Order: sequence, then C-alpha cells, then structure tokens
Amino acid sequence: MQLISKYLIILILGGNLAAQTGIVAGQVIDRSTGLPLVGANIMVQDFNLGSATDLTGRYSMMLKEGTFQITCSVIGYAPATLGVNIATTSSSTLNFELEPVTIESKHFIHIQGEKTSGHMLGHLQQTNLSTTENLISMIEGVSLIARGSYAQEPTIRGMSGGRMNITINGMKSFGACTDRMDPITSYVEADALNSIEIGKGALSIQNGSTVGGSLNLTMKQPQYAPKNLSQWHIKGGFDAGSKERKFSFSWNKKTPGSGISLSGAYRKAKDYADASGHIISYTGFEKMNLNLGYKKRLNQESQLLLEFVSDDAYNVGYSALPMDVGYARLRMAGLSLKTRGISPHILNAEWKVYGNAIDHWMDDSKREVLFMDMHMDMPGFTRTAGSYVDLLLGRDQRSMLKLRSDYYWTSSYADMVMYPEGSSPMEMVTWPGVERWNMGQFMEYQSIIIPDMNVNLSMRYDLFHSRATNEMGQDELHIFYPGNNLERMDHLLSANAHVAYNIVDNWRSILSVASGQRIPTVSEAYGYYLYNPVDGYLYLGNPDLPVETSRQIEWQNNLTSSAGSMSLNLYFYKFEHYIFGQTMSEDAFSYANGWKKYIDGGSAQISGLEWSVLHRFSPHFIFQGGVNYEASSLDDFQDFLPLIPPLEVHGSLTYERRRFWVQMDTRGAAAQTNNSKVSGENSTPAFLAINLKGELDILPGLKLNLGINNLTNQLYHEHLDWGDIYRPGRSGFISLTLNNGIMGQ
Amino acid sequence: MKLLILLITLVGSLFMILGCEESENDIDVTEDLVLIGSAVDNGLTVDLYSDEVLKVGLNKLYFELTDASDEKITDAQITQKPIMHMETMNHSCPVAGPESTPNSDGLFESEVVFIMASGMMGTWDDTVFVENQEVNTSHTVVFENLTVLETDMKKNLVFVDADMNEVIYIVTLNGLDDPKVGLNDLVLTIHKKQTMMSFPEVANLSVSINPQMPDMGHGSEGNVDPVYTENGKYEGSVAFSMTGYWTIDFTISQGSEELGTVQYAVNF
Repeated sequence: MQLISKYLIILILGGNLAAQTGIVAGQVIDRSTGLPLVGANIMVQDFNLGSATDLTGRYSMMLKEGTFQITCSVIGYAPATLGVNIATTSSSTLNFELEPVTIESKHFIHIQGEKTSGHMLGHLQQTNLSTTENLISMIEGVSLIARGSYAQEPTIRGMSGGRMNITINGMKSFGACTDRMDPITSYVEADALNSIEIGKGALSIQNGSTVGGSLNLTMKQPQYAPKNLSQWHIKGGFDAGSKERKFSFSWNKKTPGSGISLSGAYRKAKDYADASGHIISYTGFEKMNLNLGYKKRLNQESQLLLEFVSDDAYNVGYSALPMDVGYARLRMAGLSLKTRGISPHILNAEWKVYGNAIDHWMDDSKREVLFMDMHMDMPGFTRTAGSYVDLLLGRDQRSMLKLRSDYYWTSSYADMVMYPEGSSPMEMVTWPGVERWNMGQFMEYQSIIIPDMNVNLSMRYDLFHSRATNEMGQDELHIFYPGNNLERMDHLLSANAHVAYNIVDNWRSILSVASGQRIPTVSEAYGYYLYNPVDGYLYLGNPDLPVETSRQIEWQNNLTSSAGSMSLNLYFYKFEHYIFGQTMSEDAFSYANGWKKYIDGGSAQISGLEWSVLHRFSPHFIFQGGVNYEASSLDDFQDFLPLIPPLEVHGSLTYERRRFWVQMDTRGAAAQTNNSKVSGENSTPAFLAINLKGELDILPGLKLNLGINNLTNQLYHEHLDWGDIYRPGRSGFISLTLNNGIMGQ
Repeated sequence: MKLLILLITLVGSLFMILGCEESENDIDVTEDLVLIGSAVDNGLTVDLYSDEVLKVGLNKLYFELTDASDEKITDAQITQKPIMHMETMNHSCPVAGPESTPNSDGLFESEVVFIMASGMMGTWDDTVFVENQEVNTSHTVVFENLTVLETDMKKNLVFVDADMNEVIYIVTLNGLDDPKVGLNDLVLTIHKKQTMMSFPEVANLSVSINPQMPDMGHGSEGNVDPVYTENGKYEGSVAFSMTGYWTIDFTISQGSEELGTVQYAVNF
C-alpha cells in the first residue's frame, strides 16, 4: 500500500517532459515463498507494450519518459499494478511481490508487523497484546465464544466446533478438550501469524468439507535475502487490568539459499476485574509458545520447508466452567516441498507431510468450592498425522485448475476420574479412543470468461472411516446402542460455484452457491456424558447420526472509489439433518439438569447480512466500520439456533502519520432476545465498548505501543460468552518493541 | 485343465485332513469345571463338578456318572438334598434338578442356591440319590463338608401379608462377580422359605431395577428389569455408567402389591 502511494506521488509530480527513454527493471517474486516467478507478464497499461520475466524472475523494458501504470500478472497469482515515473536516461526499479492466487470465496487478513490488512478491514491496528482470536474476530461475521479470558473460540456466522474446519498452514489438528476449551486457534500466538484465511460456509472447501466455514492460519515463514542478513526484535508488554505480562522475540537469519526463523512468546496473566471492580476468579493463565522454521532453496524452482510449533499453557482458568486446565500442550511438525515448472502445464506443486499431538489436562484442583467434596480430572489426548499434495494446472492466463489430494488420520481419547472422599474413584471414558481417517479429493476450476467476468467452480469428495477402539468406551456406548459396532463410513460431497462480474468499473458483484456436508464430531458421534455448562445437561453421542448438509447462497457486492470502498454481503443457509441435542431425561442430580442425546434435529436456517465500509477522509484519516445481522431458526423445535450473535456494529477512526498512529475503535451489539431456549441460552443485553490505542516510533528500532481498553468502563458480556461472565473493565496497556533497527541496520 | 483338477483335488484333500483333525480333537468338558468331589457306591462313581468354587448364591452343579468299566451312564434319575448342619438345627436351600436327561457332554445339570457360607456356623453336605436306569440299580452318595464361600449377594426379603403372616423370600444376585462399565447381565433368584427344608421358586413376580451412585446422586440409563425365566431365576441387565461404588435396588412386586425392596452394593 505504502509502495503504491509512494509511486502515486511520483506519478502526480511527474510532468509532461519531452519524449525521451529510460529503463524500468525489477524482479517478480512469490510473496509467500520468496521464489522468483518465471514467465510473468509485464504490461504497460494503455500502451501496447510488454515484457516477461526470465529464469531468475527479472525483467527490463525501455520506456519513454513519463508516468506509467505497470501490471504484472502470472497464472496462479493475483495480478498487481504499480505506478512508475520514468525520467530520461534513468533506470527505475520496480519489483513485484505477488500473492498466490486468492479465490474470491476466501477472505484474507495479513499480519505484517503491527498492521493488519485485508478485505475491508484495512486499518484495524494490532497491538502487542493482541491474541490470535482478537485478529480473527476482526473479520466480518466472526464472533468469539468466551469461557474465560483465554482460548476464546471463533465462530463464523454463528457456526463453530465441528461445523468449522480449522487448520494451521493447511495442517489438520484437533482440540483435545471434550468441553471445547482448546480451539486450535489457542495454540497459535498472534506474533507468529502471517495471515488468516477465512472461508464462510461451504464457499471454501480446499482444506476439508464443511458447512460452517474454514479458517486457515498461516505462520510467518523464514525468508531469503540477496545477501546474508540477520533480523531480530524483542517486545515486552503489560496490561494493567489482568496484570498480563508478555514477552516475545523473533530472530530471522536470511541468506540467498536458506532462511531460519525462530520466534517465541511468554504470557502470564492474573484474574481480571470487570467494570464494577469485581475480580472475575479463574481467568488467569500462563503460556509459552515457540515456532521454528527452516527453508532451503533446492534449486531455482524448488524449496523445502520445515516447521515446528510448540505451545504450552499452564493453569488456565475458565471462569465459566467448574474446572480449569492444568496444562494444554501442542507439538506440531510439518515438512513441505514446493516446486514450480515441473512441466509447462503444472504451474505449482506442493507436497506436505505433518503430524501433531495435543495433550489437555482439565482438573478442579485449584478450586476451593468443589463439587460434592471431590476432585476430578478430565484428561484428553489427540494425535493427528496427514499429508497432502497440491497441483496447480493451467494452459493459459484464462483458466486454471487446482487439485488437492489429502489424507489424515486422527485419534481422540478422553476420560474422567472423580475421587470421592472415602469411596472408590469413579472413572468413565468420555471419548472412546475414536480413530478416524479421511481421504479427500479437491478440485477447483477458475476461468475468466469475458474480461469482466470470472467463474470459479470447486468440488470435493471425502471418505471418512470412524470407529471407537477403547473397550470400556465401547461397553459404555453399548448401554444405549446395543449391538452397534460403533463404526461408520461416510461419503461426503461438497461443491460450490462463484460468478464474479464487474457490473460497472467500480462495482463488483459475486454470486455464489454452495452445498456442503460434515460428519458428526467425535463428541457428537461417540461422546459419553459430556457436560455442557450452557444448559447444564450431559450430552450423549449418537453413532448413527446422519451427515449434516447445508445449501448456501450468497451475494457479495463490492464498491470501490478513490476514497474507499464498501461491501454488502447477503447470505442464506439451509441445513438438513442439523445435529442438535435433544432432552432425554430431566432427572436432575448434583451438577446436571439431566441428559441429552445428539439427534438429527431436522432442518435449520440462517440468513443474514454483512455490511462494511472504509473511507479515507484524507491520506491520514481513515474510517472503517461495519454492521452484521443474522437470523436463525431450528424448524422442528420452533426455536432459534444457539450461539447466534445479535446485531453487531463496529467501527474505527484512525489517524496515521509516518512515525505514529492513533486509533479509536468501538464494538457494540444490540440485545439478543432470539436466544435458543432449547439450548438453555439466556437473552443478552446490548453494549457498546470503546478502545483507544496508539503507537509511536521513538527511535529507529524502538517503538512504544499503548492504549486503554474499554475506555468508558462498560459492564458487559457478549451473547456468546458462557456463564454470562463480564468482560474486563477499563484497563490500560503499554508495550515496547525493540528491533535490529536500533543497531543502525 | 488337468492342472486345475489336480489343484482342486489337492485343496479338497487338504480341507478334509484339516477337518478330520478337528473332529478327532476330543475335548474333555470337565477340564473347564471345578471338581467338588467324587464318591463311589457299589460300582457307580459320581463326580460332582461346578462352574467355579461354591459360594453363597446361585451355583451350577454337574453330575457325571460312570460305571465300574468306566463307561458313562446317561440314563439315570438323580435327586439331591443339600443340607447345612448347624449346632442347633439343620436346613436346606433352594435346589433345581438335576435334569432327567444329561446335556450333550453327558453331564446332569442342576442349580443350587446356597444361602449360607460353610465355616464356624456349620457345614454343608449334599446327599445324592441315583437311579441307574440302564441296569436298574439305586445308589446313595454323600458329598460331605462342602466349602461354600461367603458373598453378600444373598438377602432376605420379609413380607407381612394381609393375614399378618410373615413370608420370607430369599433373593440372591448373581453374575456381577466381575462388574464392568457398561451393560452387565445379571440373574436374580427368588425363592420362598416354606420350611427349613423346602424353598420353592416364586415365578409370578415382577422385578424393577434401580442402580444408584450415592457419591454422585445419580442412577443410570439403559437398565433392563429382570424377568422370570426358570427355576426361580429372573434375568435382566444393569448398566454401570462409570466405575466406583454402586448400589442396586430391586423392587419386587406380586401383581400390584409391592413385596419390598432388596439392596445390593457393587464396588469396582
């Protein structure tokens, strides 16, 4: 963006001098891998002039004196246009970094330094204390479920858990907590993120079949540099409200042929206070995260990437639950090989193999008021391993075919042991060693039919095999499903189609239809008496559940002008076999109101709109805002769906100069009275919270970041928050970042 | 073609050899049983077996009869009378069988519900009368000093009827020696104590089951109320949703009249 504005300025200043010639030259690289792009087209707009890149990704052209708009395009990448001013006998450098093809069904946000940019959320500023969830929630249609202050769970348009697919760099991983206290997003530190890709509903099915949406977190990768280079930063931050202290660092070694990146973060927080000064017990936590990446260039066209993520959280309080987490641990490793130019038609190929393990230990040993004088432990474990192969095929600029074959295996085991005083320990297996494997085939075809019209079709087939392997767990489920072999084979078919059309130059309209499917989660198919604090019921899995299906239609409109942009999305989902908990018994005992069983809940609907706007009052003064509204119904129960956010508004005003920025942002919601009664949800009152933050470059390489969250000290909780626990009251935060720039580099 | 025929013949004979080997395997059924005692009377040997060591509750007994030439006798009528000898009195217990025809292994099956353990209080013996119908001879043997282990699976249910008569039902719970989480099959036996020597089965009762976990305050789903099958036995299932200390209440009714409730405890 800065680059463009820089050249725009040059462009404006450039006069109509005599027609002489100069040279423009540069290199085109893949932004995600840093590899040069061979055969990229370089076109000078409004002139019948062009060039192409050589084997090193370089190009050069002779141009007359003057100002030009130069567009770079290559199959599989989003084209980019930059302005250049050519002076007589001078040589200008114009480098392009192209983004791998972005399908319009997906939304991206990029995290670069302290700035977050993306579709319609141009200027929401990130602070050093932002979490991964904070960043995800900047996207229209994303809300968070809070169970405490840690590990909030993202929902896309009110859909979460098994209705969503969350991957890290395309790698599958599954939370090990039966109460969903560890969404995969909680194992990734915001500092280590490069971008977040969001697909809503079944509009993006590359990473797996889904009905509710997909979320792929991509991590910062090691990078190359023309000559050896070392970069580092350290950050320290403090939040007065939760007494959170955070330290993080990163170190990057870049060479022409390889790159190493190492980053880490440590966070420790105490219980926070709400706006009335009341301490919310069990909201503190401690966390340590490490990321290591190594990239090696094998030749001009191929590279190897090795990545490792380790995340450890300790003593995580969950105020909305009767238990806390002793530890939550992720270990993840991946190895991928990327190559270009295997053959003229295979533009890109990637092969990846990965594995990860999550151990999650939930217990109530830190609680004083114990349930019936007993302690309990609820450990859970997941192990996942998988592999995929991506191929991008294309013959010319106008059409492309993307193929993915993926495979993974995962196993989930959880149990619960209670220790009554003076009596025998009581144990039950809650996830009966469920082993599941999945084989998927994905293909996507993109074509430019006429210059202003794009068509995008994708399809996915999945084969799932699931079975319960733990004997005790099998015996438990056989109480309810005698003779059931607790094994299931599912065939899933998902497809979508998008047509994008530029109605007029600055009005792009995209019509999408999609059909998605998902299999029941481990809890839904095989869970055994899992407690849900929202309705206070125990939930029993149902191995005979049908596959849940969705049909989706969506109409997106994007208007752009020189001063900003505006977008409006209208969407409608219709579900069949919506998986839902039905009350089986209301015999209340000690902590539970009874028990429910997951059943085929029949048909359900969600419809809504997302409206957002970005406006630049001046180059330095930017407004950004949006409104989301969603309505739902669960037909057979004559009820609303649970976890549906109310009417939400958000907005921000940013003033930015070269050395500082200040931003005021606000987030509010109307009251939610369309709450799901069957699910035991309450209605939630309206709120409006305001945050203020800013950043100052004190010295080259030294930055100060500070702000106040919940400026007006609103006492509020959001509709999706469990247990109606209030959010933190007004609190200030401050952080400092020091990087290698301080050394004069 | 010739090769195919040869192959088929080869495979066929292989199967036959394997098949022969299997049928030649002579399994001694008594190997899996516990020998309680052997007694000889006038050339007839009576071997008494049970599924496991005798204990309070339902026990399955097996009688094997062999003559002097070690031939199994299958045509016989057997009756038995287990007696507990105590210091001041004697009593018997509920008995069913043996059957008049032996099972496929040539063993005569019977069921005995021991209502007391052997030991300081007294000793058990079992007097067995055999009518050998193959040669028309009669025999009496006594298995003395049987070891019957204590369990807490026998309860007395005392019911006072409308005429103020006390009726004692002897209720034993069987099948939960090795309880597990999940569904456990169980057998409840119900006999009436008519005299010290007569304990007839009670067949026309209805039983409802109610397991509870007192430490948790909950019961369980998926239980199957025991229903009468034969010989005073009521068969059903109890569901334990988790390990730990469980109580199981059986409420016994005759028609609309509730006779009472017996409670057992299981800890695992």
